[in-house]
Amino acid sequence: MYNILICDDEKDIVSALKIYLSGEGYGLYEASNGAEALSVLRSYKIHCVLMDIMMPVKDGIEALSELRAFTNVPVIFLTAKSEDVDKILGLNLGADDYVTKPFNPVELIARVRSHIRRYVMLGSAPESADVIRLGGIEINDTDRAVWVDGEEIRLTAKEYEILHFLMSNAGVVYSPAEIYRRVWGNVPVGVDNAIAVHIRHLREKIEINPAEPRYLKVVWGRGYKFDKD
Amino acid sequence: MKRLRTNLPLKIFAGFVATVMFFTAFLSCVFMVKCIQNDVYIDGGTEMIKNSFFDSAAEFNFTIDRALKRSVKPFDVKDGKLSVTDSDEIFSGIMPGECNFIYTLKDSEGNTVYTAGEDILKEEYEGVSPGPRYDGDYYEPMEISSNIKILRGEPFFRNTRYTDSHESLSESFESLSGAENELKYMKDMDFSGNIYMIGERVSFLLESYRGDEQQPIMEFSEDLAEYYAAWARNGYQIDFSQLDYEGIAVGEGYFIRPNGTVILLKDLKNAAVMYEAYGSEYSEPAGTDEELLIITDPEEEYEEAAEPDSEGNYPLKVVSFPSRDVRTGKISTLVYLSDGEFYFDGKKVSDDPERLAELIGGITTWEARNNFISRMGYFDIIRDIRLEGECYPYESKEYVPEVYLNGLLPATDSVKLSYLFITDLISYADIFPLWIIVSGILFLISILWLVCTAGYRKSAEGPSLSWLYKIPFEIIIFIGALAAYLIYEAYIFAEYQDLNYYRIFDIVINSVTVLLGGAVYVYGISTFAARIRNGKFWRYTVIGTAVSLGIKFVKFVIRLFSSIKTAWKAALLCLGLYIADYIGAFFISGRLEEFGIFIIILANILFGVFIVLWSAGFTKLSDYVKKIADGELNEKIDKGTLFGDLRKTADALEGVGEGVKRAVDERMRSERFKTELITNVSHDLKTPLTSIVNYIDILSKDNIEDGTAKEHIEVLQRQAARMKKLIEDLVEVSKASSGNVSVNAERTDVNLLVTQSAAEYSDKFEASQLTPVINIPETVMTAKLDGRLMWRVLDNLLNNICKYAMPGTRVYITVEDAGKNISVSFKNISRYQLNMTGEDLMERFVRGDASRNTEGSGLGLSIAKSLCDLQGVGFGLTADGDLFKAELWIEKCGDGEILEEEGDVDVGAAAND
Repeated sequence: MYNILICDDEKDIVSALKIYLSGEGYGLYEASNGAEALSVLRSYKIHCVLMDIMMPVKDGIEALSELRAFTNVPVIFLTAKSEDVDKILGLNLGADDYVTKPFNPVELIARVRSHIRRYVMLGSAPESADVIRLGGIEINDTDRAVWVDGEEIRLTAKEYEILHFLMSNAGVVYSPAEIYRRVWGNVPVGVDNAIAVHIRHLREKIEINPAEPRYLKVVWGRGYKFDKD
Repeated sequence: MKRLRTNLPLKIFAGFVATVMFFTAFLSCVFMVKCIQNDVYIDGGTEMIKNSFFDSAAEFNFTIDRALKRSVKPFDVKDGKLSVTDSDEIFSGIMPGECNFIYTLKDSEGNTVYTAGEDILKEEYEGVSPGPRYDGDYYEPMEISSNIKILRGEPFFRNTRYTDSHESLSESFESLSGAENELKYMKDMDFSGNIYMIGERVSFLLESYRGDEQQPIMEFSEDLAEYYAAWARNGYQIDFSQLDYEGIAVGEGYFIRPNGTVILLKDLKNAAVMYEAYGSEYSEPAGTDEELLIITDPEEEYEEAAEPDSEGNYPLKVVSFPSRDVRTGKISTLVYLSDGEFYFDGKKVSDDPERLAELIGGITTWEARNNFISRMGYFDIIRDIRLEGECYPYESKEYVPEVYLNGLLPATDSVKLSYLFITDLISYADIFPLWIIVSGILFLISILWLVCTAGYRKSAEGPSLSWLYKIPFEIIIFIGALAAYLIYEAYIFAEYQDLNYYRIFDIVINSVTVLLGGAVYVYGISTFAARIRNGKFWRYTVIGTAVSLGIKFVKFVIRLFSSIKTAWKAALLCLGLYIADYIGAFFISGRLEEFGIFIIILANILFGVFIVLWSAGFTKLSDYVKKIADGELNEKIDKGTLFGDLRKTADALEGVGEGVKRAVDERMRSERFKTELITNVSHDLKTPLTSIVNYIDILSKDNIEDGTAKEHIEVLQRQAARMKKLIEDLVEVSKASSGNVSVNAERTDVNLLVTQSAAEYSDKFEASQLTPVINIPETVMTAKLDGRLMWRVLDNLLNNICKYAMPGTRVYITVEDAGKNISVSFKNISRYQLNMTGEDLMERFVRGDASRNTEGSGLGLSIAKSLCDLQGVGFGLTADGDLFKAELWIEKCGDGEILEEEGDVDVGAAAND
């Protein structure tokens, strides 16, 4: 059983989160500020932390920088601050994810699950050269299987090839034409839309929130890429 | 100390002491010098008198010479009495008067050969002393008694008369050349110049004074002066090569040729040549010897000499003057021949002395008459020379000058007075040096006191100046210079004049002068010290005042000039140029052509430089205004080279810039503040909203049997979602409209962007029963855009379409090449009737359906518009009936343009902290 620490000064939100997460069978701890969260983290084995940023006594940013001194437990910021700069700041400080309020419970649970899985699986190297693992996505070229956070998903042949191609060249931006040329092996003529639709479908299958993809990102006006991190 | 140095009586006393000491020191100096000078006077002053007589012996010499020449018979001292034995013409010119001395010359045999003194007497002694009296015929003999002092001068040699000692003459000749007939001259024979000779014959005699200055007694032409100078330069040898002349005229009518030939007493030919040259008339008097060619001139007289005759004798010499016959009134030439005969009008008249006198009297001018007579004298000498032998040097004889001084000098006699004065002075001689030292020290102390206290006054705390010390310093300098001159004059007076009691008035006058001069200097030194101490030296000078007035005037003119309007200034400058040009033209038309050209060029260059500078300044200003217009409000004008009105305008413009900048900053601040407020409020709204959304969600998952309740929960869910959307859009619109969004423009494929966006909506179109028709050209079109922001624009537009397009219709998405721009248009048929224009639709919170009962915040288009503005993308909406059209105009990025990463333009970073 995995333990989750919910840290928020808003009691109602903590309660709501407990309702959602208890349904998933996690052990739950709660804290109302950063200081409490740190003491909980020091006392118990926690697998994932959901933390608000704006809290009394010690805010989330402070708590995060302190807890990173002794643990690498995944921390998901759960905050009303939705500005880009806030997100970047949080992630740079060592947060693993950033979910803005009001959040979608389903998405949140999926993210929590993903992070716990990754945290638990951390360190296990891929078994063979055919296996590519990036973040929570793992593909095995031998049997063309794809796992997202440990769950196998089904992809069409072209989707798989596109994913495989992009994951093999993670971080590189490819235009739809290039993707077509590399995956289909033909001269690309008017294929942009087709590729775009493929990518969209693929994103819906592997991303928790396709509108805010973590892995397969749209580089507007240039193409697509599989994010390295 | 302060009381002491402001004590006015003390100062006045010091000034007085200094002045008096200056005076006494001066006086002592003069007296001391006088004593040293007149040490010789101790013998009773006789030496002084002797010297004064014999030093001016040269003055006597002339008289003596004439006397000798005229064979004046000497005075005699007979029976102890000095008497004039012959009232010769020597005294004829001397005014009668009284004298107490007589000057005599005695030869080696003791014979008195000459006596004189009356003229000196007259001049020097003003007739105050008794002496021999002139009664018209002779001088009253003066008693030579014990009262008569005889002063004996240094013996000297003097030529007395002509001799025929040919040998002695030859010795004193120096031959200029070896040739027999070349010019020779006899050296100065002590008394009267030179005798020039051709061969060994005396041809010409020049008289001159002995002494430093060779002063001829007869009038000489300039040529003669030249000749003399040349002669003196060559150690009294004639060097004709130095003469520019064809010959040198020595005196009127005398002529020396460069070859050494002296045309003396008129070579007729040369006289003719000269006459020709002068263009004068000449005529041949009738009735004279054929050999006597006489050239006459109505204005000038000529002497002529014929060539020597066959026997070597000189022909007759002629003096000719135009003369008027008083009887007939006829004007003709009076000719005097060297044989002593006179001719008038070709007739011999010397037999009739009466007639001759008339004729001589008829010589037209006194000057000519005197000349005539003096020339006759020369002829006498020359005749004598020729008659008595070939050469006749003077015999040199020793003479002893003596002065007979009347010992019975009256008390008022100036000599006696001088004697007494000097004697008195010398008795104090030892005191003078001491007194100089004492008065010098007292003077210095007084001056030092004045200098140290100058400028301190009772009435003022610091150094200050009384009215007396404010007199322009130049005046003091001028008076000082005058005083210096007067003191010098006084000194000269004291040193060179005989100071005696008789001259007491002069002495007093000079003393007062020196005293006043000293006072001026004491005052000058004191006031100078005070002025320097006061630090306002220049203020109380004419120069200083003039300079300060000049500066004031220039400042006034500048102020006046700067106060008038720019146009008037320009007009004045142009006027200045025209005036300068006019002046230049004036000079050009005159003689100073170069100066005029210089003025014109200078004026034009200055004007041109001014225009260029002004234009440069104006360009600066216009550049600045342009920048302000472009919104570059942080610019400043470099005012270094701006002047006058340009500078004023620059200041004013900067004021405008400042104002605009302030207004813009104010606006920015308030926008930011608004954005911040909205952001913060949205944060605070989101927290409760989170709970609402979550609990509704939890509620919806409960098993609620009641259908109505379920419906209510759905409404809650929908409205909560809308609220969430509203809050998010609100934040976004405020950020976008205030420019508080970072734009990261990169080279972007617009075709791909649209395709990607459309692909994102493929499902939504389907859900909204819309058929997208996408027209994208085959050519790649790129633009500099922030893809992320553009996606949000397209996202909003496409979302709008999905919400408001009539189901079952087609949606046209078209990308077109529109020249410089790329046009991206979205066209759809509205589900609702659009009762507003495109402009209205872009307003915030405006939605196509006025009832607002659909989802959406009404901010989408406004956000899209703001984001487009941020990227420089044109955004337009048109509503034509139910046809709704949104269009973007994106500026094309040239193919050749290198894709460059631009830094984030993060205008509003501060607001997000």
